[in-house]
Amino acid sequence: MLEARWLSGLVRRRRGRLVSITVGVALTVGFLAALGSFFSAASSNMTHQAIRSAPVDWQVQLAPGLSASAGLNVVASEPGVAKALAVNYGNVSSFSCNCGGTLQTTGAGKALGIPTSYATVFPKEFRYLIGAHRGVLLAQQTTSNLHAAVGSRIQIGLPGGSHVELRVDGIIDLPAANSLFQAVGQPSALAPQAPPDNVVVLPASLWYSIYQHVNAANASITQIHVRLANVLPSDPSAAFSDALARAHHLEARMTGQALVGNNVAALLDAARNDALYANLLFLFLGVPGVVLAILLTGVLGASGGDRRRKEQALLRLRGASARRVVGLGALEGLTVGVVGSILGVVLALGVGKLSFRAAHLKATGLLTSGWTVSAFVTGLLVAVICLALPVLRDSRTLTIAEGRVALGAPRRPLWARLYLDFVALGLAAIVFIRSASNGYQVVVAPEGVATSAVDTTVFLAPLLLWIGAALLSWRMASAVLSRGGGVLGALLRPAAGPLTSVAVASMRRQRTLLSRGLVILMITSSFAVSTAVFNATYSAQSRVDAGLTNGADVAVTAPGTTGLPSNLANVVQAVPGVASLSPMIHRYAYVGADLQDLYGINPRTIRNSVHMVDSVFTGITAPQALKALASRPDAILVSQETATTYLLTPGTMIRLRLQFAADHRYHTVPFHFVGIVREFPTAPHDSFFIANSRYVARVTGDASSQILLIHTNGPPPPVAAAISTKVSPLSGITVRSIDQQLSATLTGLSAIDLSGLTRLELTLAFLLAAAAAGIVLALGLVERRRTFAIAVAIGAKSRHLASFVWSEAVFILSGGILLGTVTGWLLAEVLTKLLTGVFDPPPDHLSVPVGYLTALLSVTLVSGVVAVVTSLRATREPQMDVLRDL
Amino acid sequence: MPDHTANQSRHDAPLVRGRDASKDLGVGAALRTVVEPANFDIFPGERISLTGQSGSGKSTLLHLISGLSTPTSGVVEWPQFGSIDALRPTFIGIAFQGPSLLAPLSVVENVALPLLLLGESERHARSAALVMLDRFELSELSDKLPEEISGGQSQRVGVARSLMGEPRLLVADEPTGQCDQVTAFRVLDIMDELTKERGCALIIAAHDPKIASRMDVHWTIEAGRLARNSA
Ligand SMILES: Nc1ncnc2c1ncn2[C@@H]1O[C@H](COP(=O)(O)OP(=O)(O)OP(=O)(O)O)[C@@H](O)[C@H]1O
Ligand SMILES: [Mg+2]
Repeated sequence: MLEARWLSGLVRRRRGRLVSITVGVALTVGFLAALGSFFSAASSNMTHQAIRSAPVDWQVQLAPGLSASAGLNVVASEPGVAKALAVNYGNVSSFSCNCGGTLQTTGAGKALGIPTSYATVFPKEFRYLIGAHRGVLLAQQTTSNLHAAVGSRIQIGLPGGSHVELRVDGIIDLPAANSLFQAVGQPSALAPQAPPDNVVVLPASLWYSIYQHVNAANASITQIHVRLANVLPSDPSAAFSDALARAHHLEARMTGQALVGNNVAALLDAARNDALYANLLFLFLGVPGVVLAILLTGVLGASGGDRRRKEQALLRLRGASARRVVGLGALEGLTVGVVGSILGVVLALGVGKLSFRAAHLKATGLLTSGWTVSAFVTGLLVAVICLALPVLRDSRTLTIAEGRVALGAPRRPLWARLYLDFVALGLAAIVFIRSASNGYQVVVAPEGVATSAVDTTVFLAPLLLWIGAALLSWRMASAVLSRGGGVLGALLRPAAGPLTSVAVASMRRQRTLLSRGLVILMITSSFAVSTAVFNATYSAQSRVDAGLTNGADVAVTAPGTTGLPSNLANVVQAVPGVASLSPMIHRYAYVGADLQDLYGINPRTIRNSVHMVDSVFTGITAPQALKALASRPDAILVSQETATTYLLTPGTMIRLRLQFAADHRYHTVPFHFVGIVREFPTAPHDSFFIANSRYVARVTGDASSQILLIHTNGPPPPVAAAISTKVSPLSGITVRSIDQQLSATLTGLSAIDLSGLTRLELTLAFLLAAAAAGIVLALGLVERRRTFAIAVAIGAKSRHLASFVWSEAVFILSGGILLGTVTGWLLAEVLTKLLTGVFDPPPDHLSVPVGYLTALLSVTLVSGVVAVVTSLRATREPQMDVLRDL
Repeated sequence: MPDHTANQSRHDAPLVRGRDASKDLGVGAALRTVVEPANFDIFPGERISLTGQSGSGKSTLLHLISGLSTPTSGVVEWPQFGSIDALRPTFIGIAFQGPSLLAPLSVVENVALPLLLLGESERHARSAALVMLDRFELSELSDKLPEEISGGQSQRVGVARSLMGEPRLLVADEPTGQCDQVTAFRVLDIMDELTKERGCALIIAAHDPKIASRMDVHWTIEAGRLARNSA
């Protein structure tokens, strides 16, 4: 059979070409399968983390008239609900205690009534600090406000004026107080609520016995806390919609008698935006890699045209029809495609094991995933197209003169005459500027709409930039070759000697071949550079982000607004490894009816222990902002969001209400608004104020600080551990190092775990750049075996050929790498800007991964040099098969 | 040619000496002996024709003579020239049967190349190439690219190039195969003149007996077997 003989002949005689195309297909398939599976695994991972991190999935608030047992029955019978428990929230007008010989009284608070099984069903709500785990449990902050302890007797004031006395059995912390005390049913922007300072948790029976006698209106509310069964889909968006729909279903069933505080949906909402960003990254960073792998495979497939045409002519001579010849090409492609795709899937399995944590990618999951199937199909298509398409093209043109290798003075290509390179770059600039003008809103999530989407038009900016830069590189390379003869000659003369002008002329006439090689190298190296720079910037920024969240290398934080022990600063200063520290005040301040965080700092010294980045301020640098703060005692920096919400403009006076130590009441305090701040160490992401700690301490009569920010000399974790031993575990004080924060952020919900993806991409970029340099040079030389054979036949020596070949190699390598680096840098710049949403805050500047780039440069050069040296070695033997044709 | 030159040269060492030189080509089942063990000498100033049917092994033998390939058995030596690496372009010029111009170089650059390879200055090489092209009546083509000229023209440029290094032996493999007879004879006349002027030996493969008859010594080859019937 002709087909079988043809294939076995190919395997014997054209092994190199078949193997290299198979490797190209395998790389494409492997990369696509690994990447796709990574993203689907990552997004289901995000969903699971979101669901797991909710302390209570739903808080169903019952209307005042509805009894707890009636509400509980309905909620418990709702499909998908695994556990439902009633929780009572009773109002407390004041707490007081005659402890340690003095009488302490606090402001208002809450008394929770919980069933006995609550802590087992919702273990994330309470942390037991000291004493019993059941009975009367007093919140840590209330304990310290009242100077109470286990065994103390406290009085709580009830609505209506009566009092009851309770004996404290245990002291607890409420880690999820924000969601536990949320105002259910009100958009959080309208009713932001600080959790109550004072809380006591009682067994349900005790709570009822106290509150059944309280007649005042709005004395208490009842919520049903729900844990959902494992019913939500694994895609974050679908899970989000499902969680919403289920909650709506319950609300509808209860005919307005209940409102659902949907904690799990809120967390899934964040996760689904993260998942969208993950998809964005996939498109921005992954797809170009796949495209490149396909491109290189295509270049390999199109190579060796002379030989292929000769073989085809032979086949035709022996009577094979044109269709049969094309069929043979397709068969060749199919065979290579199947082998390459299988290898690719195996590769993806291996890469998955190496790059991603086991939980992300399981072999069985990968094999069954749709991604693997589509990658496999892509591999087949790529192979068939790369191998059969040139055959098809040749079969049409075979009768026309033998294919001449891109020589002479070719007509300028259509794109060059239409200036499509400049058009593409111009359009890229327009898309980018448009995107910049709406603040790089890549993910559009209209308020109140359950599904958010990615604005796909922004992809055009990097894509067009890439295409435009590639075409422009071609134009430039071509122009240098056709018009820059003088310069080229001067550069080549030392190596080429008397052959200089011949070498220059030869390069000029082969400018299509050389420009193509240069552009391929430029494209691959720009991909590698942009990926590496982007990833380095991302991981550097994760550290900045962790630094902002944590505040400094190590942060010591008091619970709530209790003060840190006043001698703690001195104690900590003495801990080995502590370089410097800054105390920070943390209070709450009313702006209008809204309670926001207020931080007091010393603007002159804070930079000693805290790394401040310019990008957290708007319109001013970090030193300028701190200088403005120091310029007057009542100066204040206002968060972007607060300034926007309350239409505050810098330079004006603003009035906040702060709690004074003397009477525990809030009083108006004037501040002078000096600047806008977007983020600040330890501050929340949205609304807050930064003022001078001296001023805050003076006006409130309370000099205590709540946070210590510490700069360390060495690695932060051991210093944090040493400091931990100096603080009482009962105090509720937390000591946290930036490394703990970093790992929390990276594995947490708010960040996409890029490390596996990064390794995968960097590896691929590395392989592609190395392969491109080798392939471009080796193929360029193969195309000119004839030229070299003639040159050798008329007397050229190895050194003569070497001067030709090296001139071209240096041109392609230096031009490709140089233009690729510039383009890659620009691409990284554009990507970083467009993906501002991924960075929080956006980076001040790009980070340079020196090690990787050096390795990349070396491997590219080595691969190019190896290709040149091996080709040159091959020309040393007269090429007899070529000479036969002479 | 005065007889005494030829006679005298017979006493010198030969330019090329073949002893039982054979050549196998192909691999595996396709392996065959294309040139049977052959003994031959080419002396300075000698003018040899090589005739034989297509596929008889003419080109293969010429490749052995010009050092483009090494014999499978036996030896080919160049007593006056030295090692195989030193033959071209100094001592041996080659004119090929097929198209042999370097595609990226213009006609004049192609012709100047042997001198450049010998380290001559670009200016000298170029002017010498122009003179040579003028001699072959190809001046108009000097700035054209190989793909812009006809097969016959390109073959003539190849002949011009083969004489550029002032070789002591010119190996011409059907150098006029693609030209009409008038042109062919014109080219052969010029080749004659130039080789005689310089005392350059010449071996020329040809189908055409008229071309063969212009030579002094006649070799024939049949199915790889070389027979020498001197004039
Ligand atoms: N690679 C090869 N493997 C096997 N045989 C070969 C190979 N190359 C050439 N031949 C055979 O060697 C023989 C001699 O070839 P050669 O080119 O020397 O003939 P030729 O006399 O120059 O013919 P022509 O007059 O057509 O130019 C031919 O029969 C050819 O088929
Ligand atoms: Mg021949």
